[in-house]
Parts: sequence; structure tokens; C-alpha cells
Amino acid sequence: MTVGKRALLYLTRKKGRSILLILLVFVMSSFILIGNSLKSSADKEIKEIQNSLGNSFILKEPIGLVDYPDNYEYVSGDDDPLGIGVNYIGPKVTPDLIEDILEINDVTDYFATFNDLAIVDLELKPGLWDMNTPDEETTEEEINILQHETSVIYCSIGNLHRYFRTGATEIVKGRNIQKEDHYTAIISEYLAEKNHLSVGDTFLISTYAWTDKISLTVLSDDAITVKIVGIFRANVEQETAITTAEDQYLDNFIFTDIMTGTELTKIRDEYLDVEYDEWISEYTFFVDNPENIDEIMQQVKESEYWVDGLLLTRDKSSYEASIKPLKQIFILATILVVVGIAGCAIILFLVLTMWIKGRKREVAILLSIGINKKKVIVQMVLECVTVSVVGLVLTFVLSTATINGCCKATEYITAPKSEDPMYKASVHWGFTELDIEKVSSEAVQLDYDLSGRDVVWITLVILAISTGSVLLASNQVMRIKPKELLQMT
Amino acid sequence: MSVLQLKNLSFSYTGRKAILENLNVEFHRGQMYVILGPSGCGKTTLLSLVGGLDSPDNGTIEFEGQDITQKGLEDHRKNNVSFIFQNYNLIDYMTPEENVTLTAKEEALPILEKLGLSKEEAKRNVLKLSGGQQQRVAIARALASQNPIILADEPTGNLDEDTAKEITSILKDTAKSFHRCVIVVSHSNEVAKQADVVYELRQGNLTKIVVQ
Repeated sequence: MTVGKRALLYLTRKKGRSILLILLVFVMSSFILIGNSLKSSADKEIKEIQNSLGNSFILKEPIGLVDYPDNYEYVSGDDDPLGIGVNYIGPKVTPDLIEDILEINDVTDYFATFNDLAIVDLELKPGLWDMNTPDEETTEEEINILQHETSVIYCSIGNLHRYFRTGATEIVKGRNIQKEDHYTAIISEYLAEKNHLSVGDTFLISTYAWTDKISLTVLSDDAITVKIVGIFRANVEQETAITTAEDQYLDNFIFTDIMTGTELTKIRDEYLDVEYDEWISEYTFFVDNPENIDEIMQQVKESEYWVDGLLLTRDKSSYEASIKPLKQIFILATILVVVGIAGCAIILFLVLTMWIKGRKREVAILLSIGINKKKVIVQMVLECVTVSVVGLVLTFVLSTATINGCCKATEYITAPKSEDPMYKASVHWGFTELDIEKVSSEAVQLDYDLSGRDVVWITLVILAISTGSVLLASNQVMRIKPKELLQMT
Repeated sequence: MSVLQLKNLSFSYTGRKAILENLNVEFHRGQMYVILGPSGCGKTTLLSLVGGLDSPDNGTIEFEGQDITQKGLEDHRKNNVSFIFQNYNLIDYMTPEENVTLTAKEEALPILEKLGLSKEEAKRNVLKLSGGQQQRVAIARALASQNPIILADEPTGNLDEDTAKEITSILKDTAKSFHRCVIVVSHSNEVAKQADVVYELRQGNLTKIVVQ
């Protein structure tokens, strides 16, 4: 009788044990498969998000008195026409550097932005100045001006600003700021409603200066008329306090084009009789292939126009929070796979060891009638492989239902509650910008198809574990002399 | 020429007195040998050594003039000897036919029928047979292997008197009709009466005796 026939007879005659082993392999391999599919789905989603949101890096001047005090010199008297008290003396991004970066392979485009405060002829969301009363330091006229002071974000392409890229703000009417725009603006739904404005309407933006360093003068004669091209919605929960000024409310923010911002800056500098200094301090560069970003950033630092001290970082702000729940799934799934494999190895080994030790009598008989040890081991390995293959086939046949079920369960568990805010905003101290943080993500979408590669590696893992277990366990039995084995039985 | 020769065979368990001491004996085809002896005297041990299930401390076991260790004990068990055990030692999930086929070099059914099993019984699970029937299957397995030496360790130990007589008769017939060397280990004088040659194993030595 051949080894194969003996193996088949055992499996078909000892149905209970065979079915038990098949079920064990099915459960173990399903465990591994589920973990692997969740891991792969999460990984796929992370990569897709990275491709859409993680394909940029930021080049920035190290501005901010609090963070970079060494980049500022204190000024007073005639050296302080802007009345700020400090001058920026740190490294600057030059047009040559920008051009050099755009020459690098894979760099596709860039986005420039700068922020400033300006006076608008709009009714703003009331803040600190709305509650203020005149005193020795601030006149009624100044309070009135400050009640109309807001943050203006000047940008080259509105959709590329991180508020729009992350979804913290979204255009609900009209369009966003575009390249080559001039005298255009977008305002919030709040401002549009409060001031009865819609797309196509106009309003005034004026810059201002501290005259004699103590008086606030609005340069209203040189006010610029901007046309509303779009209205945005803020999907943000903003923490506020009674000290939150009008210019710190996202609902009061105005977005307008770079050329308008440059013009306003020139108006002020001309008024103050100072040399025009470009205020653009941050540039975001976009690349075709996010995997090359690190290499590209290295090339930027090697540019002849690079200035030490400039800040060069990956633009993670957009996708870090988006991938947070996916990263958690990835980690959990990886643990599941590792535990699954380890658990499978331990449980299969224990079960197969017991299984083989329970067959000492059979082994003794086979050895006594002249069947050699190798053939006995081969028989057991064949039995185990057959059982494993059947269990695996069952796993893969039912994989679609199993995986989809688990993916749906995971999506349900990780789905944000509807009452949770998606974004939170807080004031960035020392600058006219809000820190907007994504605190919860959209519901995770896990989508997975079983690949040939997965079938192969899971099969190999299970077969390796089961074959290894049989060999280890049978080795213990085969070490015993046939005579002793017979005596044991 | 003898089919089996024991030369200066000695064996002892670790730390104990020798259970077999310098045994010298020959066995021939066509004969049924019975080895008698009290319990624990080493009968089963002797059979294990002859059957290649264990190795002696000293001496040699030769099959047709060749030391059995030369080709290996596995080869000896496969091609030279066949065992019949007191508790039959059949594979419990197989039928009689399948048990015989394990080592058969000829068709199983005719042998089983010759030993008194019907076709229907030959295809039933062995656990559904009586003790006597199971022992017949064990004998059939030994015969089907066509190995020249059959070693039977207390083959009638678990059987009633009548069945024991039948089995002993079959073993004797096997030696004569199939020209095998049958060596039976037993403590039963009734079995010994059927033998061609009877040995007694006592204190490590084999002595030929006559049974009345």
C-alpha cells in the first residue's frame, strides 16, 4: 500500500479528527487573512491619501518673534516706521531659489501665500473690539477701525491653501482664487449673509499704518475694490474667548489674490516712505511622485541659491490627521497578523503533537511490519498538508464574505460620530493665522481584493507551520525504539 | 542451511543482570518452533531482537548467513520477518483486506478466505471482528508479506481455548504448507505440543526440551 493511500485512508476513516483539523486551519488562516486584508486596505488608503495630500513640501522663512528671536532686531525711532518694534533680518526665499526648485525633476508647481491684517468695509463677526470702550490708549475712532480689521490671506491659488486642501474650508458658491487673479476675493458664508453679499458683489480693502507710531491711520484713499468671486464655508469648531479679536475669527477671514496683497503692501510702504519688502514667506511646492520628496528636498538644500536657516519640511499638515485612524487600523491589523501567525504556530503544534502522540500504536505497528520511519513521517506530513490545503481552500472560497464583513465592522467601529467636529481651530500666537487641526476623519473606507500574492504567502505560512509541527512532533515519537513503542501501547 | 542463526547473542537492560546470555541456536524453514518460559524471562525480548525491533549487546543475528545489521534492521523487518502479536496489532481504522495489503506482495482476499474470513468480513472494519478473526487477519498479513520468518508473540494469549487451538493449527500449517520458519513465544504447553521444536528460555539460556 502506498504512502498516499495510507494517508487518504486515515483522513477518510478518522473523519472527526480530520474535520477538526480542517476547521482549525480554517480559523487560523482566516485570522491571518483578515489581519492581512485590513493591513493591506489601510496601507492602500494611506498611500492614496499620501498621493493626494502628501505630495508637497514647504519652503518657509523662519519668521515669528517667539520661535525665532534671533531673526529679528529691535528697532525704534526713525528705524521703526511700521511701528512694529522689530525688523526681520533672517534668511529670505529669493526668486532665484524658487526658479531653481521649479527646475528640479518631478516638481510640478508651487503655491505662495502671505497673511496680513487689513481694514474692510464689512460688518464682521463681533469679537474683542466690539466689547471695548475708549480709554487713554485707544480712541473711539481706533476701536471703530479695529472692529473692521480682519486677517487677509493672500494666495496664488486658493484651492492649494491648506485650509482648502484639508477640507477645513470649502467653496460653496462661485470659485476660489486663481492664478493671474487681480482684485478678487472670497468671503465666508457668515460674512456674505451678514452683509447681504453674493458672488459678483464688491467691497473695499484698505491697508493701514501706525502714524507717528501711535496713531492708527487707515489708508482709505487708496482702498482697493475687490470683487467677490466665491463664498466659502468653514467646517471648523473654533475655540474662542472674550479676548478673541475680530481678526482671529475664521468666519471673518478674507482670501484674496497675491497681486492685490502686493499692491496693498506697496501702498503702505510708500506711505511710510520705506523700501518695499515682499511679505511672501511661505511657498508650498508640489511633486508628481510623493515617494521622491525626500530626494527632491535634498536637492533643494544643494541649490546654489539655498540659504542656511530657511525651513524646509514635508507638508504633512494635510494628511497626517487624515491617516490617523488608518494608521491605527494598520497597527492593529499588523498585530493581528503577527498574533495570528504565532497563535497558529503554537496551537497547530500542540494539536498536531497530541495527534501524533495519540498514534504511537499505529506508528509502532507500521514500524514492526517493516514500513520505514521516513515513510511513516511522510504519511503524516501528507495527511497534514491535505488537511491544511482543504482548510485553506475553505478560507479562500469564503474570503470575500469574511473580509468584507470584517472591513465593514472596522469601518463601523472607526466611523466618527456625527456630533464630533471634524476640525478645531485655535489662534496661532504672534501671527495672523489660525492653527487648524483635523480632529476626526471621514469614515474610513476599506476596500480589499484577495490577491494571488496573498494566497501564496498565507498558504506557505500555514503549510510551513503545519509541516514543521508534524516533523517536530513526529521526531519525538520516532526517537523511541520500535520495541519500546510497542511496549508503550 | 538455516534461515536464521543466533550466535553468542547476549542482551541486558541497563543496570540489570543479563536477560540473554550467549545464545547460539539455528532455525529452519518448514518448522514451527515454540519458546517457552516463565513471565519476564526474556521471551519477548528475544523475539524483538530476532525481529529487528532492538539490537543485542553482543553477538549476531544472521539471516541466511548474513548479519541482519548489514542491510539494516528496517530492511530485515520489511523483507525477512513478519510479526504476529498477542493483541493482534492491526490498524484500527482499516479493514482486514487493507491491513493485509499494508505489506502484501500478493492478493489479500484469497489469503483471508483461506484463513476463514469471507469477502464481506474482509471489507468490514477490523474492530468489528472477533479476537480469533483478528488474529487470522494478523496471520494473513504475515503470510501476504511472503517473508520467510514469522514471529508470533503469545498469539493465543487473548483467545479462548478452542480458538487458540485453531490459531495454533494455522501457524503449524503455515510452517508446513508455506515453508516458513515459524517461531512462537508462549507460556502455553498446549501450543508447545503442536511445535516441531520446543525451547525453554531460563536464566538467559535456551535449552531444547520435550513437551509431553
